[in-house]
Amino acid sequence: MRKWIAFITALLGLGAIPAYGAETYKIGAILAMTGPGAYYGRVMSRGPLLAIEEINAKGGIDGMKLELVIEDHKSGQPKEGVSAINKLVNIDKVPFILTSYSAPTLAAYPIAAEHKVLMLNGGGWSPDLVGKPYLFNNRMVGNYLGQVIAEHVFRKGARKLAMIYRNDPSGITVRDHVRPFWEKLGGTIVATEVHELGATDYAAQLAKIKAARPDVVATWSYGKDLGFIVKQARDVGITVPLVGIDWTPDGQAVAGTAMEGYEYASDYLDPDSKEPWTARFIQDYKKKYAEAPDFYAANYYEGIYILGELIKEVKQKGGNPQSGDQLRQALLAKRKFASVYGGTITFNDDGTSAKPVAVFEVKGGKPTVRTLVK
Amino acid sequence: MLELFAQLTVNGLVSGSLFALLAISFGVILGTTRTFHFAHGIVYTAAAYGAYAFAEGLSLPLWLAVGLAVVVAVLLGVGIEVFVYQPLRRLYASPLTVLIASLGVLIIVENAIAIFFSTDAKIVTGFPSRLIVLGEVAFTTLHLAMVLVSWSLFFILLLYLYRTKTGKAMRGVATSPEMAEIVGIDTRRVFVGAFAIGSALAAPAAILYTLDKGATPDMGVTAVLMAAIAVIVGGVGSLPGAALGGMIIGLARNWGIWLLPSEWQSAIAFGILLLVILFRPTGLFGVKLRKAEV
Repeated sequence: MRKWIAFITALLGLGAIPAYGAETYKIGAILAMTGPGAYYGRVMSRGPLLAIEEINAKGGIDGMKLELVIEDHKSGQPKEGVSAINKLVNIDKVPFILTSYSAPTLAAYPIAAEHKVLMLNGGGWSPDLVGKPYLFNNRMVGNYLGQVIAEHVFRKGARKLAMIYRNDPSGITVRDHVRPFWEKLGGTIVATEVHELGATDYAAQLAKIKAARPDVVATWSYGKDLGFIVKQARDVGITVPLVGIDWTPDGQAVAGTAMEGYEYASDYLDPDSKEPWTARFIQDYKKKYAEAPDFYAANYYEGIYILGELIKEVKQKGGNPQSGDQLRQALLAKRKFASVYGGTITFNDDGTSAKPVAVFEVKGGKPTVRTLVK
Repeated sequence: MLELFAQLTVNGLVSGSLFALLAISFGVILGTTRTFHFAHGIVYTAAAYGAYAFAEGLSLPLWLAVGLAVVVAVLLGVGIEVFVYQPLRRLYASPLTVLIASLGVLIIVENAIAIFFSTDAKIVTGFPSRLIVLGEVAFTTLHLAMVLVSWSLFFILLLYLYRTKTGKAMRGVATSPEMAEIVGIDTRRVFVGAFAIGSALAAPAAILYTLDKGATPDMGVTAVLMAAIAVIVGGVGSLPGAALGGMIIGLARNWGIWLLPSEWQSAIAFGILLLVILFRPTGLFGVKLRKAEV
């Protein structure tokens, strides 16, 4: 009798073990969760978390739930990027990592390549992020944006271009890329001036640019620097159009009314988009986080959906979705994915991508979409 | 091309005027107390951030923020004299020691400002600046204000030094502190007065610059270096010399880049300094200084 009870208890005990099958798929993220860039970590994590919530609510991917493991590179420290990826790769064993900032990404990359972990960057813009087999970028590279805005002003009739650029890779590569591009279109470069990151006095460079009599002045610069350039350009009497590849609210605060009419090309998310996925994303993000998303949040949100597609592709071919290598093969095979910006994003061999970019014009202190570039 | 030269000349006259104001603010202190007050740079910076904190942080009207910023500068400048230089002088510290102490104060306060306000450029709004275009040349009403304020203050300072009793006492101390003591002038008080005046003159320079180009924690280092170069070029002990030195630097920095790439702008001032030290060490209007042992 006791043997029977023991046997039945054992059977019941076996029944209590959860059925094998509902595994979770871990995704890694290395973001700026602390430090001066904590804003970026916040928005870059919110995007994927929203995406994962949406996907899991629909039952996950083929029943598999997604889970995000976030590590902190402390606003761009390479050392922290390395510790982060070591943990993600060795302990969490993630096959896919959302990464941000050029420096920690570049530091972590060799480990990703060694373990064949696929990385997707939606924030950093350094040219060194290009041409790495296990690293893809869904953030528009400055060179491409420079080209877009150059083409835009050429079509409007400008032929003489003056450039002022920031003296670091972000500005230098754009200068080097746009110069031959502009000349091939048939235009001339009448002035090229340079400035240091964080400089506030542009009187010298702008005086020279003004004297060169350009049809348009292009600024390959970012953030507050851009604000000072625009303001001082107007203060020295430059009346021709000013264009660029960036715009931030604090640059706007510096330039004030001088920024009116400034046009720029960017992967800035259109907050008034009528595209169904875009509008829904913005609405859901606003509901969950009580503020509108910026394009960083959108890039990382989109990253999760891209991964979702890759997992499905790999499984369809009977492969192992936990293999970073197979995910990578799937990406190179499929190339085109639906983009939360509207339209599609297409990845290139070198890890760069092309997706809807817009030329924005600043009106009333806020950017408004002028034209969409597909 | 001439339009560039004309625009650069205007830029040079404007920035030269600010340099002139900076130079006389530094020159008053150096001439009267013989202290190489490197920390003058941080008094300059503190005035700028003071204006920012009062105008943008506390949303006070601009004129009030400016007034309070001047007070901050004077308190800081006088504070450095009373709590750093006076004790060192009592201990018969060498000029080198005083210079290092001054540099130390500059670094500490600069970093404190950077920690508290962070390192990105801060702007102060509220000055109704409008563009003035004269042919090929353009500048703003703010630039005009810089020129007017700088030379008015220079004029007022000269009036003070030559027409008032305390001003004359200050000139006396500048000529010879020992003789001044003998005729009954309280040199300690005059020293404090020199720091107060010098700091009060640096403040408008800092604020006008900030209204135009924003404030950064390191702005004071460049400012005090330019001021020192201007004073040396113009001749230590001569305030008109210092003002002229400031104008020379402002114009040279701009004329220089008429032909050179704009990256050379900062180097030009030091180039001039080098030439002056090599060929006319006492400066343009220099008075013979007592030799200082370092």
